[in-house]
Amino acid sequence: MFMSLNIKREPRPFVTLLAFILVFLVIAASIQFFGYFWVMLIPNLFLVILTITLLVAYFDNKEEAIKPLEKAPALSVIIPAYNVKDSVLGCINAIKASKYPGQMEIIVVDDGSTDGTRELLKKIEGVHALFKEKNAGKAAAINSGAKIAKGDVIACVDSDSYPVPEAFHYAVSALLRDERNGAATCFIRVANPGNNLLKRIQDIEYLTGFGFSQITTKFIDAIFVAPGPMSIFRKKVFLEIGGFDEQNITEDLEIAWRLKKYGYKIDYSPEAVVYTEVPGDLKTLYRQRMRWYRGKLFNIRKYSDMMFNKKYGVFGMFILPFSFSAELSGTVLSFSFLYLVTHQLIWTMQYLLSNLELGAMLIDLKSMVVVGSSMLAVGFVLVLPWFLTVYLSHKIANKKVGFHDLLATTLFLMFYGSVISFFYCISLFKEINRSDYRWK
Amino acid sequence: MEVKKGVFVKAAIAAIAVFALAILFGYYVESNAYSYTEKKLVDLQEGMESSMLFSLFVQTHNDSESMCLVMKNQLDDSAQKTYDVYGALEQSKSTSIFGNYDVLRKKYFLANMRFYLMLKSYILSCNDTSLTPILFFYSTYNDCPSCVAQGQVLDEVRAECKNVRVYAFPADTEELSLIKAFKAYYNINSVPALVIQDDTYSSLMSKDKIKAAVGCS
Repeated sequence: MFMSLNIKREPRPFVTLLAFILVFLVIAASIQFFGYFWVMLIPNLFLVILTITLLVAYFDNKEEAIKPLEKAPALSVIIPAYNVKDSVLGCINAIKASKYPGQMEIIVVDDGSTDGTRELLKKIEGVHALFKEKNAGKAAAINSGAKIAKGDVIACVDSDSYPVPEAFHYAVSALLRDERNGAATCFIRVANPGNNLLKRIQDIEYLTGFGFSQITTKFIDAIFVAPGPMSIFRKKVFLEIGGFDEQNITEDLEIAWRLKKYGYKIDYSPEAVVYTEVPGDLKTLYRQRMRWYRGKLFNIRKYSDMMFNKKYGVFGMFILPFSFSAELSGTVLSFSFLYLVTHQLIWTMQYLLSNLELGAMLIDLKSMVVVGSSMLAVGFVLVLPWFLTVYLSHKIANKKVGFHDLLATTLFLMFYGSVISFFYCISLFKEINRSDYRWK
Repeated sequence: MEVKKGVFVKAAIAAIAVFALAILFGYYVESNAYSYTEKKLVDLQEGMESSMLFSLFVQTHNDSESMCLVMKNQLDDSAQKTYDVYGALEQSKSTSIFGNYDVLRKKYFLANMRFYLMLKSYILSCNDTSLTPILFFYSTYNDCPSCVAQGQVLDEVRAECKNVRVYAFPADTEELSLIKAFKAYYNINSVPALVIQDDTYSSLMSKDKIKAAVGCS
């Protein structure tokens, strides 16, 4: 999963500091003028509009049943591997257990591993192993594999991901049901969340993100990512567009946007389930999300000509702008929170000084109440579409919302968004700062 | 699969409907809270009205002893109600999103002034020095942590000294010209400020100092 890629850039701390102060002042002035509630509401409206649009798309369309393949094309499964001796065998075994009706080859590209992955791969039978001396990153590894692939269809699978036996059949069927399709994506699920609360929360996030969102964006022809854990491509198209961008930290996002640029469609099969490992602690999650969100910002700049461009349909006119609004909304929410905390800290300091003057130890909780009953009422209605989304995501996955999921679901609905907003905000400022890209 | 053209029209209608529902629900909840506070204020005003009428009635029947007793009871009864309404209004000021509480606040401060003047009148006409009114001037629109701290100290004093009645007024409001007159009369230039026995204190006052000033041991 973790391939290394370092892109050095010249940081600009002064510009970043200036941007930080400017945004803080604008948010502070807005809160003073309009009030905390309205400033917080505006960014959430973007999310509500997006959610409602996807819900309408869901109820307005019906998923076409996948037809069994009459003639299954030859399939080349490419697994990039870098220091993954603990997971790669499980991945290969899962692929070997697949019920793909056609010819299938497995190509594992060792990207200069130093942890014994190379030695392990040499012992595995039925796998075409390609060994690279120098680590060059995941995109480069897959591109190397694609060059020697014999199949008409290539599947890129992360070494810590485990497709279910039917996954390739369904994914290839989805790819071939329209000749304009350049790629097909799968339903990425969290592998073994166990009792890890963070993984359980991500389990729900993946259900909504790779289940509900993928199926609904497919309905409006706007799938905007070919997820790294597993996506499949027509090899001809893959090579035509130049394969993965080797200097991109979110190559899975970039290739999806490039496919759109070339006029290809991306399909999706909810039946093609692939389980993948996810971060089990906040630090790893932070690193992962920095890569995702900074990669998105990088690609928004790269493909800025697609934004609000009718030529790219719903993708250019709706999904791309709304995708960017996530960073902006996250920034507004984070700065509003920062303002509140700063304001409260200054207030508390002054209050404590008053206590000193009064010779009293007073506690004031009333001033900390910033949410009223009417705010809660508005928030409750606006969060209902999001509740429905979570329910439908479970339905798509044939997963029941059990009592034991209550804590993770509540945390996901109530707090996880704030954490992600904070990550969005940091990613934006890291991009403004032109911090180095480090992905290890 | 082709994109259905109606999706975005339907989504726009649904989004507007959800927003409208959210705003209406929020408005409904806040209206209820507003009505509740308004009802409490009306109760307070009715109590004040009846005590004023009763005092007039007693005055016309030349029965000053009964008048004093009734007025004291009425003032005691209204004291807690006044604090309740005050608490509800102050809380709603910071958390309200639709309601304009200015009218209620104006009515409340008017009633509060009447209570203050009634208490002063009672003390003078009934010659009862056991009750001590405190005027408390604070800031509404600007952050004033020391006002909150002073208010809490006054709450403690009120709880410990049964003879104390606190009448709080925002010093930075233009809602009532009478507040301006009070400020000018008592020479209030900063907040928090207290007026005890017609003396103005423009700095923070500890509980002990207040208790000493009101003669509460």
